[in-house]
Amino acid sequence: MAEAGPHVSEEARRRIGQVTMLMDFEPVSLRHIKEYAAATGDWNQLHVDERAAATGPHGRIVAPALMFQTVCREIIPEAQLMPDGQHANLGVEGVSGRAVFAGQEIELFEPVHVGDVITMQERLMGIEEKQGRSGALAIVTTEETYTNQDGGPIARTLTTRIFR
Amino acid sequence: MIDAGAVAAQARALVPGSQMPDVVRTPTRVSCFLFAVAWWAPHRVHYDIELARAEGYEDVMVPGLLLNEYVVSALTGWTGDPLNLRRMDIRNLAPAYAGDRLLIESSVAEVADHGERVEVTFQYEITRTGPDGGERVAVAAGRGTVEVAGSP
Repeated sequence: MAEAGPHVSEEARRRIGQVTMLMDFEPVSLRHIKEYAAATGDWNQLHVDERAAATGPHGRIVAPALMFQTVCREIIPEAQLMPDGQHANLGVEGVSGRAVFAGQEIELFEPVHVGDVITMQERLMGIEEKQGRSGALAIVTTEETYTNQDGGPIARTLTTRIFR
Repeated sequence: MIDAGAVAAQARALVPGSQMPDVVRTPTRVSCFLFAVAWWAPHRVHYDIELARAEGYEDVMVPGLLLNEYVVSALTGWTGDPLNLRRMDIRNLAPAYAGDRLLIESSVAEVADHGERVEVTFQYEITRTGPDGGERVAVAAGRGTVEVAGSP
């Protein structure tokens, strides 16, 4: 189990408004696109069939619309995971507890293609600590911007997680 | 092959309040596991039934981003291209579990005709019904905007 929470460090509170992560991720592969398409059940030819995609609206394979987020995941060895499998710093460093995904706003710009290298910048927008019906909670909001290797914008998201 | 002109004409024919076809998804434990792998989300609530129940959940939880993808299908299916999605927001209201019957209902909120492109904004809601039936519970809701190209 994750330890009882939430815990919010002073350092995390000081970082509100600041960039909390800036990272390049591994190039997008056709295999990853197929894994993602298989998992969502959307086995769309635009994502998985090079020949069909070549005659489609994008002229080549494009990743599913929201896949950019799964590309930008840091791979962490099992030994460094918490007992419930979560990353110790899911959401933002210095905030811990049982995390749930509460919502998201997404704006999409350019599509993602095989071979793209995506850079994600995360900015901590706010930490709201309050008493909920089931106990203390911390509502953490982050803004993520995603760009490709040419600096082209891919997406912007505003993500809210609740830590209990 | 996608007929862009026909899709644009379909967009222009929509009016606020138009109901879109319902979309139903029934994610299994395998769906949740596969999505957790593709997302590299090792949180055990998505694939470990014993841990999920110990934490008070009915079954393994459907990852939030998988719900987002179901919404993309619901809002863009009529266009033939999921990348026509421009914006969406989602408010997660309650957990969804493997085995649930998830119903995604959507309707048109706004249509903006910009001449060479049409933007259609939808409002949607996802509700769940457990594998044994029972009452429908709202899982998530929000809005999404789809853009299609094509002059009148």
